Formats: sequence, C-alpha cells, structure tokens
Amino acid sequence: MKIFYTKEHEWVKIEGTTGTIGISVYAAEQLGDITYVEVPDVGEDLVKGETFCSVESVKAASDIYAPVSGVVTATNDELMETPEIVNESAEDEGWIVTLEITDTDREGLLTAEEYDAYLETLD
Amino acid sequence: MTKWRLIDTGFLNGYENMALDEALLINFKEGSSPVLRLYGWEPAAVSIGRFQKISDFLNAAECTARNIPIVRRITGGGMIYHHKELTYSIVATPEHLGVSKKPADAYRKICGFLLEFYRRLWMEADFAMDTKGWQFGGRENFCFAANEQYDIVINGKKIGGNAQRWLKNAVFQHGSIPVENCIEQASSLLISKPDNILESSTSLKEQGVDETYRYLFTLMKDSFLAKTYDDALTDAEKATMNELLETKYKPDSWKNYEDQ
Repeated sequence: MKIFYTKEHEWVKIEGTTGTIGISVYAAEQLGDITYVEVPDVGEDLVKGETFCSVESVKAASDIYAPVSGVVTATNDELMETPEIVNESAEDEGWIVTLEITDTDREGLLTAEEYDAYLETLD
Repeated sequence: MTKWRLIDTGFLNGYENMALDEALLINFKEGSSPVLRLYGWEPAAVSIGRFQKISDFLNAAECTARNIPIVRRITGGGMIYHHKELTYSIVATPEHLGVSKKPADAYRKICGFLLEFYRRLWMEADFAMDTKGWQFGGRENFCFAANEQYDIVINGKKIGGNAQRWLKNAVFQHGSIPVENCIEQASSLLISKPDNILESSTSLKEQGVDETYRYLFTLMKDSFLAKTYDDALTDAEKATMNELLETKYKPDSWKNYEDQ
C-alpha cells in the first residue's frame, strides 16, 4: 500500500487499482471541530483536481478535491452521523470514499516525506 | 498593495443576496482583484448554513406565515435572521489577505477590519479569544448563540457572526453586524430558544450607535484592510447571479439536505 498527499491536504491510499481518500490530520486540525461531511454517491466519477465533497467545521465549509480520478465504489456513511471521526482519526477511520482508479497520473501527489516537508513551510 | 473592488449593492432580498455572493465566488479566477461587497437585506430573511437541517430547530411554517424567506448559504454555521443589519462579503486569495491557508488566520485578519470599525465607533471591541472568561464551544443552530474564537465581543456580549467557505485558492467570508437587536424576532422563529440569548448578544444601537446606514457602510469601507475602489458587477457576475436565481435560490430550495 502506498499513501500520497496533495498540497490541498487530501490523502489517497493506493492498493492495486483501489484508492481510499480522506483529508489529512493537518487539515482536520486547521478546520477544528468537524460538524458535517458531504459524502458523494457510489458510482460517481471523480476527476483529479476537481471538488467532490465538502467538509464543514465550526470554522469553515471547505471543498475537498480528488487527488486521483476514478469511480466511487464505497462511501464512509458513518461520517453522516458522526463527522467527528475525521477529527479523531483523519487518516484512518475518517476516510471519505474508496474508488476504482481510472488514471494513474501522479502529477501533484506528494509522498509522506514530501508532504511533511511541505507542512514545515506553512508555519 | 493590491486595491480591492468595492461593490455596494444596497438592500436586496435574501435570494438575490446569496445568489450574488455565490456569483462573486464563482467568477473569482486566478488574477482577479479581491472583492469587498457591502449590502443589506430587504425584506427581512432567514439564512441557514450550507448543511443545516432546519426541521431540527426552525419553525418553517411560522416563517412562511410571516412572509420571511428562508435561504441556504454557501457557508457553514448557524441560522441568522437578517433584519436591520450591515452585511459584508469578501472574496480573495490567502495571498491577498497576507495569510496562510488556515481558516483561523483568515478569520483573525478579516475580522480585524470589524474590530477597527467598532473602534471607529468608539467602542471597545475584542475577539472572544482575547476576552477574559469567555466560554467557547458548543454547536448551536442559531449563529448568534454560538461562541467561536474570532467572534467579536463588546462589553461582554457577542455582536454579529461570520462564516467562511474555502475553495482551492480562494477564501470567501461573509458576516453580519446587527444595527438593531432582532434576537427576539429571530427567537420566535425557532422551535426551542437558546438559553440566555437575549442577555448574551448585542447590537450597535444597544451600544449607543445611532448613525445612518449610509454613514455606517462608509465607515466599514474606511475601516477596511486595504484601499478599495468603487466598482460595479461585471456582466459575467450578473449572468451567474441570474442563472443561480433561476436554478438554485428559489422559495423552498432550502429543503435540499432535509432528507439526509
């Protein structure tokens, strides 16, 4: 399994042609207490770099962008009832969707080390 | 330093106001000048957060009976009853604001101009986080009852409310400053009233300000973070607004999300 991040603070875990997407721990911390996650429908086409859902916190409503293109195969419906899972476990139990990846373009994806280095430049 | 477009749209109805805010954000592209919009609401309207489920807290039938439109915002947060207030919206990049891509930093910067506005009205205004003993937290359906770090507090009472929306490289924020305290009318539209709301929020008038709307809007402009120039809506912004009015901002469109 490989994990990549974007500069917009999404992550994607890749196992074969399956990707799992969520927002990073850093993003969850910046947003504060998350109060709502808009989850897309299974079967929806996600286009890399385009918004596919929103996360609302006590501070802001923030659009989330697809790190890779693909078709949604599952959604984390628990987020509908308990969106705070994203604060508690952003990069594990707070996953938002899984998808069948349709394009292996790696442009703009950062490794964990590259993402950590990028975060260092933000503070 | 970049000059900001100042768009004064006067008093519009709730659907027009929210369609125009969204149109400004949609038409904000790389290289666009940042925007400060000043506006008011006529007639009075209720706005609700992007994903709020109103059947949990708002008496929609009462709103209908009193001809008070309900409109869903593009930002999060709680319900606001817009009446006798000054409203602003801002569309900019984090670079225009001189902040990183962090909601808290953007709030501190943008709401800094509101502090300046209150100070020019000779009031002692502070962020809630800088106010001794202020209690935070709690998710409230009613915006003026919620307590966030960058709320503004005058004489121990919260004044107004603000909400943000983030896109990839744009931050949008709008906020309300009550000229008169309409909390009682707002509370009468709620299914259950928050505790102590009348005691914990305030308005300009209650703080002794008795200026005209024109004077107050001019003072908001003068208190702003950057120099502005008067500007009109572009044709593209008007076209987007009209399209949104036809497709999205209509009576009953707030019912989206009610079934989720």
